[in-house]
Amino acid sequence: MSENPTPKEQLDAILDALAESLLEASDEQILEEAAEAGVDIKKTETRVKDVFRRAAKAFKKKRLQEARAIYEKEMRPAKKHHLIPASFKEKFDLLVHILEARPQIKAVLTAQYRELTELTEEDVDSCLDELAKLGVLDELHEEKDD
Amino acid sequence: MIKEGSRSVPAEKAATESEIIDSIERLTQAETVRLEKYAKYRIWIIGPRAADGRDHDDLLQEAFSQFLNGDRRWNRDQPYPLVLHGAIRSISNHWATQCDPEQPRTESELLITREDGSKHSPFEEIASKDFDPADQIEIEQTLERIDKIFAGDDEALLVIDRWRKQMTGPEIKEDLGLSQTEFETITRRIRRTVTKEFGGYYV
Repeated sequence: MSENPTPKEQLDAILDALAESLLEASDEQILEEAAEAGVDIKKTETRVKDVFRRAAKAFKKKRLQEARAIYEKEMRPAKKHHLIPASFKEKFDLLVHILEARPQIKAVLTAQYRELTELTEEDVDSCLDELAKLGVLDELHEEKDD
Repeated sequence: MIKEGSRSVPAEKAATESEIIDSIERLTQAETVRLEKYAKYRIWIIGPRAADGRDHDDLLQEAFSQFLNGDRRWNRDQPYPLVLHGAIRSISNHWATQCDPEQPRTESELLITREDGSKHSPFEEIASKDFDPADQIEIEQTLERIDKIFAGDDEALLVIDRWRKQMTGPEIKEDLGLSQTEFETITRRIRRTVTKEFGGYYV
């Protein structure tokens, strides 16, 4: 309670008291007052529920869109790096070249595969994709250019 | 006093999305009427500038959406309409605090027509940058109107006078020596008269 409430504070206090009094009023009083004020109760019920139904529908739609976006992102094949060639032979040769230039990577890879010749096309693709993500392909390309 | 639905509600007690959506159909007519009226009062309290084009429907939708989005939690031990009222109050207060009093307004928005029909621009009298003359005049006119419509109802005027002094319900009852029933009866009479007088646009 302030000493001298401003007119705004005074009006707010009146309206706030009236708004909060709605929570104390019985259902019968609320309906009676609404009818007395000429409110179409049935229409109000429909209107308020429609506001909530629309909000629920918008929420579900947003959720669906988000789920779809995540699914599409996960299912979308990773964009192939421009330095990765098309044929298996070229890809394999590139991998061998990288491993010769970066022996530390070779050590990791040979820990997984005893012989490079054991690598399937899928393995080679996977290795090159990972190396591309790590920036190794670009590094080697730049070194070659230098 | 109602408690706002908030993140402090433990997750295991919080209603699920489907429970929140199912609650729509369980709302009674009285609850929907009360919710709409409450939202209208809150929009009236914050004023058109803070509402920024949003009406009571937007307020109801925002309150409901915040429970669905998980921004608020509904403790399912509490009645949903009660929790919604808390959210409506909290959101409208937030809108009010977001309102920038220094947001520029055009002079045409502030022009006041005097009783003789002449136009007056409050810009001519602005002394403080925080002072909004148009809002101020409208507030004072509303207060005068309230006093006028209750002229002759001394009980109502006494309660209104104490609300204006920001006294609480218990303080007013004690000050005026009213029982709970007497206080509620007077409050109800004020509410009905205000609805009749300002109904439609405001409540």
